[in-house]
Amino acid sequence: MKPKHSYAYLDLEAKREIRRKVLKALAIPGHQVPFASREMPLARGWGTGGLQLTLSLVGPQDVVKVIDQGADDSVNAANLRRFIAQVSGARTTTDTLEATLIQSRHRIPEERLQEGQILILQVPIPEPLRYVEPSDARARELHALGDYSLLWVDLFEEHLRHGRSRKGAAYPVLVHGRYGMDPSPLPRWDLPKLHLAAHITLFGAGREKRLYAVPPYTRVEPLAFVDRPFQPEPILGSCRRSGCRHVFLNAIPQEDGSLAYEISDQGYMEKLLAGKTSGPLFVEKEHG
Amino acid sequence: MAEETPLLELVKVCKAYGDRWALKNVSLKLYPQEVLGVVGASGSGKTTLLKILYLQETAQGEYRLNVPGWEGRNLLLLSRYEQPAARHYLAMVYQDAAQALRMGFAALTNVAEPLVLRGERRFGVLAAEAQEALERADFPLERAGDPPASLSGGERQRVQIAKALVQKPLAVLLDEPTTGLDLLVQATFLDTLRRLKRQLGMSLILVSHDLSVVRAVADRIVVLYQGEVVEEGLADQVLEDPRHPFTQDLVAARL
Repeated sequence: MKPKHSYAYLDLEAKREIRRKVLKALAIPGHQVPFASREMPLARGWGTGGLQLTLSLVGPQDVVKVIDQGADDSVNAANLRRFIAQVSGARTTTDTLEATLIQSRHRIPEERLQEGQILILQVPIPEPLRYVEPSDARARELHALGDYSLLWVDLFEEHLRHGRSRKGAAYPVLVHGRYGMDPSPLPRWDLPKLHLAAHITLFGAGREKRLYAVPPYTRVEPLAFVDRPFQPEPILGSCRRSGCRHVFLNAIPQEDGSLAYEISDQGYMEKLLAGKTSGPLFVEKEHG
Repeated sequence: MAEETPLLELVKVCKAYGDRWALKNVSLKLYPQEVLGVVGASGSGKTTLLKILYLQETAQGEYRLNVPGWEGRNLLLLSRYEQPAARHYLAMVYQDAAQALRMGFAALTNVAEPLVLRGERRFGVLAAEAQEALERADFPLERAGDPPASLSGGERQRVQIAKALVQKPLAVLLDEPTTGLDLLVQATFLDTLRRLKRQLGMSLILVSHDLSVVRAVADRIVVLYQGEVVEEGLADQVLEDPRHPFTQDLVAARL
């Protein structure tokens, strides 16, 4: 029987288009490349950009990991993983080190990614200037001029009001000293992981029809004043299951109004609980 | 004064919108540490003149700034990508503060913005310089963290002045800065302008329809009428002994 769709769901032309745009994005680190975003069998805003990137890159020999907020078993991640496996025949895993393709929303795994691994992030708003410059045409001009002073003005205001930046996500970074980039909903904790990383990071925004990339060993610097250095989120507790306090923790509201903490990267926590040795971490242990 | 080189010079500038002339052969000079008043009725070309001076509008003619590196260059021929560099030497104060200020950001941030645009990346320096400029503009410092949206009209104008001061510009352009303020606030604002001129030797171009405002601050006056300069001279001279019928009407029409 003739299959109802071509390999990995997208037709050849669509995949070729996306791969060409990925190459362009890798050639101009941090630059947003428009691409022909297709209709996908899930709603815009649920990771269609990331999914199109994954499907245009995946092959039967690949090993795919999908996470959402660090968790492999959340509904969206599980659905995406099942779909990718079904249309591509690729094997799936929850082990960061084993995966060749990792599609993620919100997090970069704690274990250090290696050369040859590709991290694909689902992006809601690709434009770092969106909040400070409402006109897209003007924003593109500012990118062309390399003029990110509006982001600095915004940063100044935050430091003035709160003594620090309170951006939990979408903290603007400068890629390769040239393009300002919105690092998707990554927490500040994950931004240093992008700097001079060995792996490829791709960002796909399906609704906004843009993709961008950080090639391996590229400088990624969060914007910060010389006398007010960039700071990742502090760790406020310790994991209720493993007792760890050296990686990013999720805060889980409790019935009595207090907060419990749990490791956000579920694949890493499973390894810890099973007593397996994990790979080297992006952020080396500082607190026991 | 005549042998001094002007800071800023317009030579025979013409501007037409469609087939209607907004400015015809306008020439003017601004000398160092001088306040030049530009007077004219609505529709006389005041706003167009300011837009041209601030490089927001194209025109025919010549426009020169006497700054190292820019001698002999006609600013009216600059591309839009060269314009920002030339605009660094000028600062504009608008009648409506919302045109120049980010109404939702703190006053201090607004004042620091031009420094950020020039590449200052030290928070401490930015905050200190912005605060100093606000102080110079007689802005109540305890309100420095408030956004202009919650400030009074007079305070907003002071934020604009501070924003201009922090740039250490060659000349400040003021577009009807006191229109819409009550008389007392107008008077104190003009006091601040006079003091800044005396202390810092600032050069100003003050555009207004209000003769009493111009008389209070200006050294020289240029009268615009239907896009042309009809009278020019020392402030007292023009106001005491107006030659052109329009100026005579204007002076006679004072309340």
